[in-house]
Amino acid sequence: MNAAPPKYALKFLRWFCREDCLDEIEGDLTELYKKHCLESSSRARWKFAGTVIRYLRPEYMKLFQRSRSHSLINISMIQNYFTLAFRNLRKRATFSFINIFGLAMGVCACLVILKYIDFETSYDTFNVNAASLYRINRTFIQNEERKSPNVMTTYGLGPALATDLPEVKRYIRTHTEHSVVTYEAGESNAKVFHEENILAVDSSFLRAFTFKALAGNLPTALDQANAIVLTQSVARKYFGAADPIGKTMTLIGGRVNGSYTVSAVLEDIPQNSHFKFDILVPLYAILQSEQYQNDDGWAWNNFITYIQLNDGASQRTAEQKFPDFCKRRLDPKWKDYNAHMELNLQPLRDIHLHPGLRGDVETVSRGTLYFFGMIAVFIVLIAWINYINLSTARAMERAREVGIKKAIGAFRSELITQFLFESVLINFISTLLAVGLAITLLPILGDIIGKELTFQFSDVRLWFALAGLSIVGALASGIYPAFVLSSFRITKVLKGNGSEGRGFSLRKALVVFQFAASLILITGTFVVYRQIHFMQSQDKGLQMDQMLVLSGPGTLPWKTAQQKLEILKDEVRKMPGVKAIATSGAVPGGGHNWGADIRKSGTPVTEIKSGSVVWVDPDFIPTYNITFIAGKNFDPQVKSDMESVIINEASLAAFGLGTAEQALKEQLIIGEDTASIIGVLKNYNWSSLKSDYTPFLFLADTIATTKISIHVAAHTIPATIEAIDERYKTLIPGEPFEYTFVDDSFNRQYKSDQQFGSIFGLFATLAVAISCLGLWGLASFTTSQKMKEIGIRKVLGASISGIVILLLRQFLQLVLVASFIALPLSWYGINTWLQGFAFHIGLHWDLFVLPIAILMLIAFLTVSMQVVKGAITNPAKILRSE
Amino acid sequence: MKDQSLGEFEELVLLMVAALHDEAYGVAILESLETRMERKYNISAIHVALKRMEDKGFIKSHFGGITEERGGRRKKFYVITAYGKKVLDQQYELRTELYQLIPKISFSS
Repeated sequence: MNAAPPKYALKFLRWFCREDCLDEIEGDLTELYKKHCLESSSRARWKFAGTVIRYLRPEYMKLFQRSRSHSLINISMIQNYFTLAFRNLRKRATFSFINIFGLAMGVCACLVILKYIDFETSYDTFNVNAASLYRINRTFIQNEERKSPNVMTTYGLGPALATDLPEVKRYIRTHTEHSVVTYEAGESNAKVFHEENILAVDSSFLRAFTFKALAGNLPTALDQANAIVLTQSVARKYFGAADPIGKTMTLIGGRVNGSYTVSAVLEDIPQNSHFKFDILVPLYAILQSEQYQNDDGWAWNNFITYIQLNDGASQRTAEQKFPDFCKRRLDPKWKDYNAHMELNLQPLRDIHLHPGLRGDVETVSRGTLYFFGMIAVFIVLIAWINYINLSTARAMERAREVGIKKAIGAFRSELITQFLFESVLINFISTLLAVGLAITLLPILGDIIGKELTFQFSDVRLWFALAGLSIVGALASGIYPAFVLSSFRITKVLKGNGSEGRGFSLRKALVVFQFAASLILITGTFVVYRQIHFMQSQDKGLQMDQMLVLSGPGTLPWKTAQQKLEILKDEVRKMPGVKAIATSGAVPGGGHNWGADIRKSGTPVTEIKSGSVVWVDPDFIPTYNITFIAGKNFDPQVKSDMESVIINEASLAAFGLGTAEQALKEQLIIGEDTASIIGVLKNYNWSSLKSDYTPFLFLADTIATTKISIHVAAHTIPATIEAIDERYKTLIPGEPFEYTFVDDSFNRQYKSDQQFGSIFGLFATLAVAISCLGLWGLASFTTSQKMKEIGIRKVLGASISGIVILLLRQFLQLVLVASFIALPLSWYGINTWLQGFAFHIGLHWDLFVLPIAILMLIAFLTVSMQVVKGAITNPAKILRSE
Repeated sequence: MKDQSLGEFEELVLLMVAALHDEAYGVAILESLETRMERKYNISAIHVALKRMEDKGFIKSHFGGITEERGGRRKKFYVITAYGKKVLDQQYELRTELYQLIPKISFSS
């Protein structure tokens, strides 16, 4: 017979069950067990265990013991906690303010960052089919060297994928266009605008991507070749309050010439969409254009291809078929070049979070988001540390309260509950305050990233975040002080032995942590701003100041446009405020005209490298003041000159041309054509300083009709612009006059870095502010604790400055230690970040020393206010009452 | 205020406590109930009922001595209080009254 009941069940029972019920329960259970054992020992064991489980009821559990057995007393206890907590808050209003406000700022920063991260990760999720939609990226591999992946593909790719791969449900190709759009509302009442964001798409576009319709039937809206779909704001621009459906609009310029009938109106594209278009037209007209009619579907990489997979198909299975597909469809063309193509699928929802692909404008890397997430955690930690520090620093003050309570008979657990209760209360108040702060802070962040961010209070996750933050906050910041405060020994405390105790070294460590974190943030902000300033002010080898850029006439046929521009050029050149004028196919910061395959004449096709080509007129190089290191500019009088090419220094090495002088004797094969080199230019930064100098070629054209650059004199800019505007409008009527300054548009390339810097700066400021709040509280407290010491010192002859230094020293020491910790960390972080820029600032000592000095100064000011106040107090006042 | 009602099962247990008088403790109550009612109960149900009734003041308890078969645990004996008896009496009276309202006719079975 098995006499002993199951060990584990018994252990478990003893663990959870209240002591005062255990005699009865365990006793009865054991007695029953022994009786049941007489029948079947194994069944008895099961029965025992099963019955034990049944006692998992609140009334038997230790966990709920207090609240159950003394439920009446407990309510008054809670009332008492409330009273005490509020009294404590009021009694030390400054401390309470620091605590609550500091915590609120921390939680607010956290909320705002969470919202930001949530927004950035929500891109394209509004698409019902988001999970099955992918974009095709291609990577060109030549001589085993992988070129950077590209999203631009040929128009043959989509249909070929749909025929060859059963996984593909449908393909969607898009092609960006711009055009001049006219709507004739009536006699002499035409509305004409330049539309830059036209997207020509397959009719499947609106079946795959789900946008909200205001009018029209979306799935079939693009089925007609002359259908046009507008977004709400564009529709309003042309039609006002009138119903746009069925109205006819004329598009002139580009490849989408013709009249179109409005078939649907979309709500404006959601902010979190990677598509940025105002108008949709069918791809039909584009494919009918001469350029693509002469193309077999595999030549011009001007399309972005998306595919939607069938419901059961996974990305993996589809991608596994790509190598074979490439081999059959794409690679034969590249065989002679010792090159091949690799395709892969990029999930729609990843597009926004995947920077670095050519053709993507607005992206943010996951790394950046993690980084901001980390900052959020740091800021909240700093705020919690404040609470811990201030509460434990005040321990001495409350020690008497604890001592008396203990003497009367309070359990330690009750004291812990009381202090936790206070921290819950403070965290709750500060969370409320934080929501208010966050609502005001969010538009600031929204301005920085150029989006409208608002809290959706209907979003459950927001409530979870709030609840989580306040509960975790209450525990994280409350547990340690609660244990420290409740641990005081009665005798020691009531004797009035106010020693500093063990809490202090931890407090120091926490302050060091706060300041190290703040310092890293300050240094980071500092470096980001320096780098952006450097990129903007660096000599780019191009004349960028006072350079006005006009868009060429898009409505006119190419030949007419050339003639008109010729006249415009001559007339504008003669204006008094104009220094120079030139036309080109693109301007600095605005990309290139052609990413061409280029090799030196006489080398095999395997030597092909890619280079950027821009068409310019002979005035372009002088207008932009680019320095020649060899050769000469295009001469419009010499025909052979106009068929030549001018290269940059970077091309020399890339195409193996030797020195600049040697290069002048060489020829380049650009695409299919051969051109002799007549000039070599000093390297210049055509695009962002993030990227290094790349091979860049100028081809000549008498007039390039896309962009007009005008170098104007600084003091007469408005008058000059007005004069040009007038000339332009009389010469080319019906064409909108729109201008930019090239340095503005060039600097727009740094937008994401500037955003990064601004967000960084915003939160660094918050972190420093919270840390200083804490330091301030701590300083005022230590000073008030040391008043007696100060008094005695003063009586004995210490000078005020001596005392101030004495008190300040310990705080500045902490900042110094923090600096030593922060230094290597920030060095490492900065170095990593700067590696992402081809042209970047050096790691000078002042990058590190200045933030330390700034932080020291802030800390010094914060602390000295309190310390000086203490030091100048009359000692008689303090020492009187002993 | 506390709930002063007496549940059906509680009433059974209370009756058993009263009936067993000095010998009423968990196992004894369980076994007597099981024999009388001819069905199985779980000891935990008895304990819960006892605890509730003790909280309501129908019964009071005291501990007995330590016995070997209980693994060194004491028995917890229950005795009905005067108040508990009163409640039981009321319940009984109520039942009887209601019972007497039944018309004296024979029921088909």
